[in-house]
Amino acid sequence: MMRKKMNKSLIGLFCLSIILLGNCVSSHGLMEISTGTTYELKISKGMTSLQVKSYDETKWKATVSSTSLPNSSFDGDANIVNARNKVIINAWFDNGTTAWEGFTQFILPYTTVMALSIFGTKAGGNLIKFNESVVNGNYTSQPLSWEVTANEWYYNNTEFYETSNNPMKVFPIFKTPSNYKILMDDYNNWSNTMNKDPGFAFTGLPALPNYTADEFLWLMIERGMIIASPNKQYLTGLTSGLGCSTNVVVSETGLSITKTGIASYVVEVTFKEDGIISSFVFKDLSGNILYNLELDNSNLVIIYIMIGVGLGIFILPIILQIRSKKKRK
Amino acid sequence: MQKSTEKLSEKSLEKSSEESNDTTTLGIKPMLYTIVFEMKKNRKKFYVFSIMVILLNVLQIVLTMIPEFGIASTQTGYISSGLSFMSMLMVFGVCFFFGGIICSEFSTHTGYITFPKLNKYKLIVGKYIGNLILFIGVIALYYFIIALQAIYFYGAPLNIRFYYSFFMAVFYILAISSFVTMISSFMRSIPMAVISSLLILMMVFGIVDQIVVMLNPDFEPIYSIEYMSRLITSVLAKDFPVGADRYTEFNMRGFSFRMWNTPSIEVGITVLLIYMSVCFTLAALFFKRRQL
Repeated sequence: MMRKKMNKSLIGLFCLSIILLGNCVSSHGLMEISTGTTYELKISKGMTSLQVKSYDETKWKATVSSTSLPNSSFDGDANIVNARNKVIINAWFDNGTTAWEGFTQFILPYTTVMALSIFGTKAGGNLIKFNESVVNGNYTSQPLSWEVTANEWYYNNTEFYETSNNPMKVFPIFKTPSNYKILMDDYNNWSNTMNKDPGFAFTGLPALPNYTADEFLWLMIERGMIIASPNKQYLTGLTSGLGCSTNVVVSETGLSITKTGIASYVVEVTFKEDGIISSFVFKDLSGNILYNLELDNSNLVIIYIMIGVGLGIFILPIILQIRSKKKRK
Repeated sequence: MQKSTEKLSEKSLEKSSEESNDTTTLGIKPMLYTIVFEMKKNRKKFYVFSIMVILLNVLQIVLTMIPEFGIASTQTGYISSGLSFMSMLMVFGVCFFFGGIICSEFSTHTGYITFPKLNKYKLIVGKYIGNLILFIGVIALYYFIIALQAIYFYGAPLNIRFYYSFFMAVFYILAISSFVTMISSFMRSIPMAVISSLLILMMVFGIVDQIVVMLNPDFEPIYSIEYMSRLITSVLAKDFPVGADRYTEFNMRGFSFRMWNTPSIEVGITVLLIYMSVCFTLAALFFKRRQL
């Protein structure tokens, strides 16, 4: 009798552990952090992958641009249908984002940062003043944020390499969405100053771009923006804080941006509940899809199959044994 | 009368053919029964260690839920960090599963029972294989859960070096189980065998390694079975360390210390094979002497 009870309790503990493990591994609601403000960060560590579902090159060249193809906005082989990218969120830190971090980790491309850094050193001739203390000394705002660190693999239609293309991807998520304007204004101010610097002219580097509100929003989207929850309120605060034009419309699922290339077209960006982008759809004004990126969930299917097989291998013998014991009795 | 003798001869012919069939299956069937019996007998150890494995993995998952606790940037890096408890679990598990293989027969006085159809050596081999299957099942469960996590966080497919690590883990189990079986062959009781094996594998080898390395930093402790366990995680590295990358040097107050990180794969496999062959041979010899 005691032995039977012990067996049952052992099996129960085993099954409970499996269920707990399953709950822990499920992606929805894995981690919620209460911020003390109205917004919450609902992301979880791990992989997200977008896949190129469709691409009509003819219509793209006729509507968006004949020279700038999708791989101008999305790194890698984003022109190829079925190509996928991969972003693995490693960690996030409750911090403030300094101007230096915002400029070098988020706004400026890596190659530009490296080039500016070299010209700011003795070896580069000290042509410009580009270092952390100078930038943070001039732009002292440090809005509170969650700094998300990630590894990024660019779009690829073959197997991913073991090491990522961008191991130092950082995305700041401001706790007050209107604070993105502070970063944008500080950057525009700094880039204007830098472009007028005689030392910068000697570097031979192209002029640093200035961003309007709509352009800055698009830059954030290209960088793979993550938002806090509730999504619609955060996006509304973000777009109104930046001062976006009427071309940007916030919906329940995300954003709709009307842009003009060769002709006008609309980009619909949708977000998952955890604040990560789940799809991009480029459409012309007639509703024809020019380019479509969607979330790739094939990973979850593999995990569910593995869990099913694993449960079968490990739990089935236990169930069979209990049944055979009952039959003997 | 003639009919009865014919029947008797037919019966004796049938019996002798049955006996000749029995001799051909003597080596396999009784051993299979022993394996199954041993697996059933030790199933509770299997359940306990399986639960421990699940709890260890749950603990790791809980740690990854802390936002600032960053996960590794590659799949193999994550697997390597997940296997950090592996060698300790293996040592404990092997000692508990294999500690009583031989000495239990003597402590319970069952070693003197003559079995009509089963060779005593085959009984021990059957017990060994039964426990080996159970414990490899525990390790396979550990690797399976790590694989699930790796695919969840980093995407499929699993890196091939994951399978190399599993192969090394099984090889290591074979080596330390042979060592524990050897200990069991001359110990008087199961607790003594388990405790002695644990002490030697967890402490003695480690202490001896440190003394040897302090006395002669150039000397790689390839005699140490504990040192061979490093291969389980080092095979996961993209570029397996070679030459001077296999150790880290420290200088302190004029003394130079060398911490060996991993053996080379060839040396590791060779040493483990030597441990297996020597320990199994010694175990058989000790067991035979005890029989006499």
